[in-house]
Amino acid sequence: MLKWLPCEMHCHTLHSDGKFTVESLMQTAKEYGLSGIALTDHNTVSGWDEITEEREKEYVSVLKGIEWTTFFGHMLVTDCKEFVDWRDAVPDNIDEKIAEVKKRGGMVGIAHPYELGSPMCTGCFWDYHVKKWENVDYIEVWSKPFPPSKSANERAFALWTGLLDKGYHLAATYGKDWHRKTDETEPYGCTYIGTESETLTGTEIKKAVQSGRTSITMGPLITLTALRDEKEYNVGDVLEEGKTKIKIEVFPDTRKEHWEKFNITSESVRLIRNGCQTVFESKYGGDAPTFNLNCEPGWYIAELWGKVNGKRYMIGFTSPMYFTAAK
Amino acid sequence: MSLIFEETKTLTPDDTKTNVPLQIYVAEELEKMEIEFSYSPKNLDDEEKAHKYIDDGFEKYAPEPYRKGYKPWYEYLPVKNLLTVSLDSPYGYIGCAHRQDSRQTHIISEKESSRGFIKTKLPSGLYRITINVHALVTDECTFNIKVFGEVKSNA
Repeated sequence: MLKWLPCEMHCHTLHSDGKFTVESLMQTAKEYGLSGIALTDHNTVSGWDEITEEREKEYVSVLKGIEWTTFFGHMLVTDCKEFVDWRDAVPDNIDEKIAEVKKRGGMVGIAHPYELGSPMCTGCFWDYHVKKWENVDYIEVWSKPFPPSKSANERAFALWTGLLDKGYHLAATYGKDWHRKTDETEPYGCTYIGTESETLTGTEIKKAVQSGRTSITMGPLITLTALRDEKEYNVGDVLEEGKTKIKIEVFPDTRKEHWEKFNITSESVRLIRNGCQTVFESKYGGDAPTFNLNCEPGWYIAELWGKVNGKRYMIGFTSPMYFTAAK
Repeated sequence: MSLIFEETKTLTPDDTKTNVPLQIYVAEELEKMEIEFSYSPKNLDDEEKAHKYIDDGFEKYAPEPYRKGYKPWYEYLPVKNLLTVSLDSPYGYIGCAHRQDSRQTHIISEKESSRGFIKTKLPSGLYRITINVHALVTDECTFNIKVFGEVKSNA
């Protein structure tokens, strides 16, 4: 049985252009009801020294990382055992650079792929020509406040599902791209991490993301599980095609005090698959929908839809569960 | 501390998305290194040109039908140059000061380093300073970098 813990996967401090100290970032993350963060300062690891066991116990767990802030895109590199140079990354050598990171144990995520580039945000738009998507662990599909209202996130969602259609296994994350404490005037999201571990650590966050165990939301947590032969499967798992009992659960009280004030209401859940086809939809409320489905080869994700101040939006979605052709 | 290196160079928009490599030979082990870095101008004051940069950016990164939901062009002012300093010692990468300030001072030593740079010994050898030209939007922009070193007393 997985535990789902809310995390913020994209954070900056005074070690680059953020306004937090490392400690104030960790403290604020705890105040925001988070269990973990990824520290991803631009092009530096100098903040890592300030992550201590005591602070992790007192506040939140930290995955140590860096945001490669290059001329052609921003890439989140976490838990990489050795330095890999970001300065010579150009559109046509990015596969080699990613391979170098992976060789050193690092996890790779594409940050805000459709953020405006220069002069509004230098290098923020993803201009790299990735051919080996199998080496990319995740895409920051949702970024910044009020994520479903941003066309950049709609494009990132289309990029991600397009890659899933091609057969790649990629987790999704939300990244607030957190630089400073601000008055929260709009809803923002978080990435729930599914872990079997009793204690969340940076390593567990990485393991969960690499296993595809994430769920993104700006409201309540949504999960997708499958039951077959009395065994439970989660997002990130790979099953053989065939009849499967599917369960989509919404947990209405998760971090409620952090999103309720934005007048977010849940209305329906959906199951979608390749080509973003809706294969199941149900009104939200009452018991969690559980139904039998003949799952075909491909990917399936659960979505939560609802309203924010009366307007309809996707509130959250899970990473995929995958099905392969029968042998 | 004594001045061990200084460079002044003028860049143009053609230098955008390039690195300016600089090398310093440090003859003796250092206790401490100080880097003073400045560049000017910071902002593109010509509003017409700035407007064009922003329009071009939207055309490239958020063409129709993706223009909805963005702030109007003037909310992206001022259009700015962004140069950052990254540093490598003979041991490897020390760090980078990725921030908007156009005047910066950084200290590097084994005991204390400015944010952005790790604490490290400073052996003799070749040091690489890289000026990362993230954005150069003014007709010209001149940077000056000075490096001061304090030789280790028992070296």
